[in-house]
Amino acid sequence: MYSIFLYSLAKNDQQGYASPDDFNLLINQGATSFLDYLLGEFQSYAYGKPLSKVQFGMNEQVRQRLTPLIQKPVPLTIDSTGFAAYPSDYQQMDAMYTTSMSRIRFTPQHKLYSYLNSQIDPPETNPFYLIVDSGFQFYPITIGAALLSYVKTPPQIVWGNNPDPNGLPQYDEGTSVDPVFYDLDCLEIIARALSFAGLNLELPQVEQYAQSIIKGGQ
Amino acid sequence: METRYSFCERVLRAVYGDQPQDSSNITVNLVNKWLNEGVAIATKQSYKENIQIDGITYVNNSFYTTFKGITISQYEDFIFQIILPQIPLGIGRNEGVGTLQFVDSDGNVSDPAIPLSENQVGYAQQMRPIPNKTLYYSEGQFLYAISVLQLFNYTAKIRMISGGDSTNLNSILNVPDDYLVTCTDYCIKMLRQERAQPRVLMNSGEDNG
Repeated sequence: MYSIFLYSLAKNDQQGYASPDDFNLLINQGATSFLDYLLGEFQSYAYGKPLSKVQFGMNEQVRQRLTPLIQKPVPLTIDSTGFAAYPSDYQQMDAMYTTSMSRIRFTPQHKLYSYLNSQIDPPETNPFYLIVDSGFQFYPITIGAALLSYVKTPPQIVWGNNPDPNGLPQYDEGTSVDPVFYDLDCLEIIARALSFAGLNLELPQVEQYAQSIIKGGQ
Repeated sequence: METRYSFCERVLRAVYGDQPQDSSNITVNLVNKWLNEGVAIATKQSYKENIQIDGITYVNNSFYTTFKGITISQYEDFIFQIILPQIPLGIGRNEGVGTLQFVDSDGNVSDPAIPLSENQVGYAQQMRPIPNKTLYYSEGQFLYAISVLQLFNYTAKIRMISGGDSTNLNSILNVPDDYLVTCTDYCIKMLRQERAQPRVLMNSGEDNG
């Protein structure tokens, strides 16, 4: 990815250069940006409808692209007040179950009263959760355990390197971390990273190329 | 035959056209509530059709359910109260439940008690007692048995029109298939109506808006 990135930026190293550190910074921003795109950017909502052009779980293909980041259901530790902190790499909810695979439904805060006092679906047998600042608030608070499936933060991509005798960085496999995204998606991430680099280097051609890939595809 | 849960699941799929989402508002328990009314409508439909087809008023045996082990408590002197699993349907002329019997701790079952209609309750006690028979009458959710025996030492066994045990989703839904379609139509109609209401998308916080 670094080679393609560098190739796109610098023709014979005359127009621009990005150091490995620049690359590591920008490519991770590119990955985050692509994740946001797959999860459903607010900016692309249709008028009057909270629906993006592309959004999480929209179809099997979009979901497939995210599968490297969809965590298998993990048990949550819920304290006696019904609170469970988000996992450290939590990005977005996928599904929540009880340990016996019954549903735990999401409810926004302003419906708490209705759900908590429901006689048709009492919380004791129909648990639900709220999303609060640092975790999940479960009702009934005595629920004890839950299973959470979620979208993880992508691990940091690193182009590890060591300087050769001439001081030029050489690839070091040992300290490198590959992207978890599928190969198909790497161009999407590179294009987003190039967009930042083009801005920084004031290279309109790079910026234009990046935008054409992001908006129109290859 | 199907269980209540299976029926509710079938209705949910028809209403949502899919498996309902985690945040879906129409739940199995909600369908189960509508189902009680659906069963009543199906029973009434059966009653009316029996008049039209056979010329006599009756409800088919398929709609009846037997409930056992119901506790009996003393309400007043010589009057004992039984709480029914549901308020008996008000179809045509009936005395609430089909039969009421008493079961002792050894499992011995009495002969059925004698039902009283609404106005018989008023004068029955002025009449000569029927030897060895217990009289009862129903009011809403309750049955009242008139007896000099300490009936709280027994449990009640009753047979009444009912869709089965509505509190147990795994119980069999006690409606014959030819009238189950009436329940299905009713439940789907009411729930589609709920689903078709315009919803405020702002501040809903739910993915299915």
